[in-house]
Amino acid sequence: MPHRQPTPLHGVACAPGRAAGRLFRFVPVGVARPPGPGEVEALERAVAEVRTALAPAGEARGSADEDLTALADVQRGLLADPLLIGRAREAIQGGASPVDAVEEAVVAAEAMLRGIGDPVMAARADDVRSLGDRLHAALLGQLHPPLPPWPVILCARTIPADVLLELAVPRGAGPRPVRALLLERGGPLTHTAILARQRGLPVIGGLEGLLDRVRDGDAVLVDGDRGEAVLHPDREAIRRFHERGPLRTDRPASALQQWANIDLPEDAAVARRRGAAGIALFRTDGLLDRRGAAPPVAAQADAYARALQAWPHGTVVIRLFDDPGTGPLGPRGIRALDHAPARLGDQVEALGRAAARAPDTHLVLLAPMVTSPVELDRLAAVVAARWPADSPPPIAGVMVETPAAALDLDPLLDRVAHVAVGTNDLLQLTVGADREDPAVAALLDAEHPALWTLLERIGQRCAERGIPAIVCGALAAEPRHRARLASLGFTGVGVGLADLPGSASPQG
Amino acid sequence: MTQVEVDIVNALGLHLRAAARFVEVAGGYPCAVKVSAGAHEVDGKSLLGLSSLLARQGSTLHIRCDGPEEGECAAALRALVADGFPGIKSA
Repeated sequence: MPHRQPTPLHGVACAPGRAAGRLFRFVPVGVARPPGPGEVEALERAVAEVRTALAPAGEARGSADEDLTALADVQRGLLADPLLIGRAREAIQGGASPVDAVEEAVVAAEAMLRGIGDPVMAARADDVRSLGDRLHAALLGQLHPPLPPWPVILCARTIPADVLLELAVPRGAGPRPVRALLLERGGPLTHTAILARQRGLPVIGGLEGLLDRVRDGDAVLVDGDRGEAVLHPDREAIRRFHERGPLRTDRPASALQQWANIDLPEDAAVARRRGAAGIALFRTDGLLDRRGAAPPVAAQADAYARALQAWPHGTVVIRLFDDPGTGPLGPRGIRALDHAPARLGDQVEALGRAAARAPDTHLVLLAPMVTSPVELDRLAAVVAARWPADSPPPIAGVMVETPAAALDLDPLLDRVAHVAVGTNDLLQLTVGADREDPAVAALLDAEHPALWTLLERIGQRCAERGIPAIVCGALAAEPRHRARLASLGFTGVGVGLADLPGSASPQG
Repeated sequence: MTQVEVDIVNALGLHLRAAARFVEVAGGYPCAVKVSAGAHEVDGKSLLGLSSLLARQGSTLHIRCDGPEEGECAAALRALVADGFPGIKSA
């Protein structure tokens, strides 16, 4: 088929960076009956709708996002502008349809701005076009299509900068839902391009007619540095592309985030200095003595609080005692519900007390060795009974490390907001080989297709729900697995302190 | 009619966000507002119009208010510009 041939695309470099992925055509869907000639109220409704949509975008992100607030101010100003909305209103009163009237006003404003002969003003013309597209969508009852639950390369005519930010910033600890942007319109001075550059999102503009030439799911390579892309790349194109430079998505900020696995509370601060995205796994087993007894509640709370206090406004995932020493198939992890209920209750209470001492930290209470939703419900009952009432409640997390959990994941995901995948246990339980036994070590092959079948399932299920899913375990530390993990929908990896990006720096 | 002149003091001049604030203040008064920075005069309630002035730091804005509450409006706009658009980061 001719359209599957590698096709170079030449546009305008708007924001640097390199990305590879699947295209998603971001075209409004759900067209309603367009309003008829003279319907001024339809314009007023559309303006009000767009204005309302602007407000929460800025506020929801808090004062931290100055850019969005600034942008919303400007767009609000345009929505009240006599030269834009006033002109459209007059055209409707003169008998034009609202859609035509908006188009007419946008075209006139664009011409005025380009006519000034100032590149910044010409870029504002693209912003006005973007707002016009948005008004059209509101007039036509169109909605933005929901993004697929995996990272995409978005293809659109224009994208308002604030919509772009909604789409392109990671949700929670997740990866960017959008890896790069291909636009039919626009240049490097548009608000969209400026904000994309600030956030490291590659953008190519000026790709006229692109939407008509591509389909959802088309493979594409994006070189935002050069303003070039390759549609339907073959092996040769892929090889050449990767020779030129690394993918933007190879970087932790834009693809898999690197979280830290720690064993000591003190390591939480070290992980932060070394640039970890959060604490993926604080293994609390180090607090246990050789017989598996835990320290008193107060001492435990001190230890947990030290870890939490190192991450104000960050996320610290604390795993309940796992007792790995009892063997891979023994009364481990959440099975403490039955074999060590008093110790489990104490640990929950200690975590609750620690949470009160670090109210700005998101504490994820991670349940290990889960095989059934009943276990999570029973744990929730323990939390309800022992968690101090005045402590911020924990975020429920599940460690997916048994084939049972991986294969019957949905009921678990109904109950949690965070997933950690323990690939070491998942592998040894999948192939039935004790990882402590050297006689069967050769069976523990991290490339085993069965393991990856389970991982694919876990990644997709979590991505579908937007639940952050962090892969912890030996394979997560190996860079060669990361692109594959990212493509499966995982949002991060948990690695040891030595594997963090900043570990070689002097401050580490 | 009330007329005032005021120099732009903030570093970025009457950039889009500053213009948006100007329009917001002007829009709060019923009088008509005209602004010029040279020969070109624009609607002081139009963001597009104002930003098309390309008024930089050091240039002088001529603000002309005509209608109800014109005095208050002119004073408020004058103060806004003279104070360098307070509240706008990196103005």
